[in-house]
Amino acid sequence: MPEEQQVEEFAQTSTKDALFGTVPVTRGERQWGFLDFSWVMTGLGIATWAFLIGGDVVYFLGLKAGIAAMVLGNAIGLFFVITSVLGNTKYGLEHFTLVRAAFGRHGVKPLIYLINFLVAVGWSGILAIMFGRAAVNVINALAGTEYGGDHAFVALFGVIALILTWLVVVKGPVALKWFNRIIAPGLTIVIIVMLVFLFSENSWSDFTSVQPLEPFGNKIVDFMMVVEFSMAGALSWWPSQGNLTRLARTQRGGAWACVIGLFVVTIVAQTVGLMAALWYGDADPTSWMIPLTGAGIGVLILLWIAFANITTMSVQAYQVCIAMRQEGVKYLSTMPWGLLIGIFLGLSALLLIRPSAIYDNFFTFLYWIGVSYAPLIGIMWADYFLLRGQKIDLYALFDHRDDSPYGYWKGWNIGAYVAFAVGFGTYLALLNPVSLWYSAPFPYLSATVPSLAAGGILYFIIAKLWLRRAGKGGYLPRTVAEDAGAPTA
Amino acid sequence: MSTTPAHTDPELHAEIEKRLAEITAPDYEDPARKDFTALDWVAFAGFLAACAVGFIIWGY
Repeated sequence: MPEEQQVEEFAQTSTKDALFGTVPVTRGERQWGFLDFSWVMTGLGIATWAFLIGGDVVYFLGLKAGIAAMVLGNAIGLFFVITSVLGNTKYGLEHFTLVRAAFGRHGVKPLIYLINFLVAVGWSGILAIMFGRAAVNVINALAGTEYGGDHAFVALFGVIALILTWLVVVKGPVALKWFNRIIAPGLTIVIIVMLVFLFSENSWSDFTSVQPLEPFGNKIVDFMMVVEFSMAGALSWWPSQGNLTRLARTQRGGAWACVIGLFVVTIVAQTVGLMAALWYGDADPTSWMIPLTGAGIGVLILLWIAFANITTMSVQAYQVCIAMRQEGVKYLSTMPWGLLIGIFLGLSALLLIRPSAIYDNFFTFLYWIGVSYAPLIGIMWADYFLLRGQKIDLYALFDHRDDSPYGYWKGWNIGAYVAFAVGFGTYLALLNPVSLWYSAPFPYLSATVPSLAAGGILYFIIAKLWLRRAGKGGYLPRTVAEDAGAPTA
Repeated sequence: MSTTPAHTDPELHAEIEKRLAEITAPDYEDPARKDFTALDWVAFAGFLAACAVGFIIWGY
């Protein structure tokens, strides 16, 4: 059989597997108790991006205030992320299947094909740049060169990372399962090694005495800038959390496992990143390793980081492109697998044109995630807890008739998009993710929390005053039988 | 009760129908269906809030 045909058959099988992976899971299929799920979440919490977020704190705050801001931001962000996906655990639903209840079966598609896709493109581009920077630092250490962060070699190695990712995803991501099993333990060792070297010649007070690099000079503003991108970092888990927690055996166990992995472990990894960034006066994790541990160990760590990034990019590319091939968009479902992966990674490659533009301002990318996800989470929170009382009509989620409870207007809920637009605008009125312009309330309210609240509250009002009266959304009072998940029609 | 086919794949549609029938059956029991109790909410929000407040007092 020609290789091209084999690749396509593999992709079709994968897509079919993925489609079957989106059906509701039943009790017997839930794999993770509290301890198992804690381990999964810990694996997610320890990743190279944690160094990036911790490193970026160095622009605004010192060690103690930086840790406090990261804790506050993660606590707020994760509270809403974790509680907003309790419905996925309860009913075993794939993430965006539950989102259909609020946005409609077609209304959910822009969230998948646009927002989720662009966020993934951004992450892949950033990880490719990190790969390129790590490679250039290895070359500098071995060849005695001094190539900078925007040198053509960074872009070149970034492209190599994307090509390697393409090869891995096209040829078969089975190996990724094995890569994933060694990445987290390897990065745990990296963190321990970094801590040992950091404290071998320095004391805690040495780190607390180091000043941030480019603060605004107004402590509460600097503090809120870090809280803001820490919240956004937490919100970025939202789509993947919905899919993962549906495999948890209980809502309580799933929620607390997320707290352990994504809160406690992540804060530790980010703190180590912040300490290294403060000590070397540089937010880029790839620039710390060789000065910190010496050329031998430093090169090994950089190679491990590069390997870890290829794995993360491959998993992401695979998941996003499989999602793109699912229901709804015909030309994507028939597009050759290699071409689809190529388009995804090709868009990521655009970020390599000037690596420092996004990589050295990584936190602005996080702010964009906040703009996009905060109002969505607010709407889902209002929909699931306030309007539906944690009761979902499961049949309606899969019913594609226009008059089904979640059919709205030909599958689109205009009300949800109005609320989303207002939440989006609220964020921009408080903080500009590009220029970092902020309005007077921002230092006291943040931008994410008001955006999330605006989206949620407005959607609640719209649902009560408009959708319910129009007979849309299944918001009318339910019977006892319907509360058990039975059909409404 | 059945749904309008969500997918063109009849095999997948049948699988969804089968699972919906199972998980909406009156006798279906699943520990995951148990919602957070008031105590769960207090413990969960309280832990995160206590961490946040404690670290702000310590670090800010």
